[in-house]
Amino acid sequence: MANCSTYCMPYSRVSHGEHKQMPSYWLLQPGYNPEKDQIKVLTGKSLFSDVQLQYTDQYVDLELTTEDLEITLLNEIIPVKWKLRQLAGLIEHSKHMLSLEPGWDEENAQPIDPEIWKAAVKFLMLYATEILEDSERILELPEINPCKDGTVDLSWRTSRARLLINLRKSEDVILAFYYGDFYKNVRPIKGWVNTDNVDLYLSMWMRNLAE
Amino acid sequence: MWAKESIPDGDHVYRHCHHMDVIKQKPLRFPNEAHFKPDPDGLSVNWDEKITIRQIFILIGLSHNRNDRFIDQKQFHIFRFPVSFLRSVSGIESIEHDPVFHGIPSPIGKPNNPAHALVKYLDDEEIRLVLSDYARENNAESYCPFEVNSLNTEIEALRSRVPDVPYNRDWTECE
Repeated sequence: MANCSTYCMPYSRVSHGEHKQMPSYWLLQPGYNPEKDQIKVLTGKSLFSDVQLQYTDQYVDLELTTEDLEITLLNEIIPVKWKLRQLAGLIEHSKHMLSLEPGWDEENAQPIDPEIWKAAVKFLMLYATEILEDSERILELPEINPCKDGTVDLSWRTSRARLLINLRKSEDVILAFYYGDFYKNVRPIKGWVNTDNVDLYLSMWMRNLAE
Repeated sequence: MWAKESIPDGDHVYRHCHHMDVIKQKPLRFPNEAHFKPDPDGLSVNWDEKITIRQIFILIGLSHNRNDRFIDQKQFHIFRFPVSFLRSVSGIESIEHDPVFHGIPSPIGKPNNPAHALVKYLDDEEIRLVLSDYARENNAESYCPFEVNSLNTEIEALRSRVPDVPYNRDWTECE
């Protein structure tokens, strides 16, 4: 068995040989040693498949690859930069909204349009990737929220700025409508963009939401 | 049944919010922006001159969802907004008293509501962000904590008697 003692991350006790499946972003919480980033998946092809854990006393040793990942958005697989792995985990978690049934708010809420959800998370990954590649900065994680009209919100509130983006159909085309500012209506931006490519003006502004 | 009245700036309106729309950042609880998507006729609220928080939970518990089942009032939180603040938000057209009356008695699952009002605006990301942030930044004044479980027995008793309850009639005997 490969020596995987380069890093031990406190997790939960598991039985020897037990398989445990979990969302990857839970594996990658703050607290892991950034200097020990040279870690490999023990088994499985990505962080979203079963990962075999090695049992050692009180800790579970994990080896996680630093290779780029991939996530499945309905019927499409898209690549994810290693540094955006937490965003990928958030997107995986947001899939729950696709199972919301009519009246999920106990009133008149509609199910979430899967086309709109997919467009929203692809839009998010597109801008996060562009910002990373152009500035080496990582976009802070937004909230991904279902709306009662079947659309999807992306919402950021950082220490510096706030931004709300809603993806919805306008004459059968999915557009992203946005408002952002530095709180109290300071230096606001507002408008809409297409979702299939990066709008540089919006992307530049969104660097205010990046670490 | 009830005439429409003018809502003064100094009053408040209540908005009940399903827990799925509530952001919990201890110690804060506030509605997310998605919650403030308006219906075609506006955002439904309740005027605090005509209703109490306790009565709002009872009203929820006596209402039917789309499956004709009584709504679980325990799944909701209530937030309060000053009318003066709402009227100051650019893009909010008006706050109008809009009492709901379905008859005496009203059908089971459709209680009457003399406090109902509408905040009228078109769907807009800026307005939704401003409303959500108001509740976040003024959380002590906006969030209305209430021991909703204390109403469980009363609401079950009312449900067993509908529509022969004050909430499905003229509210004159509502406590």
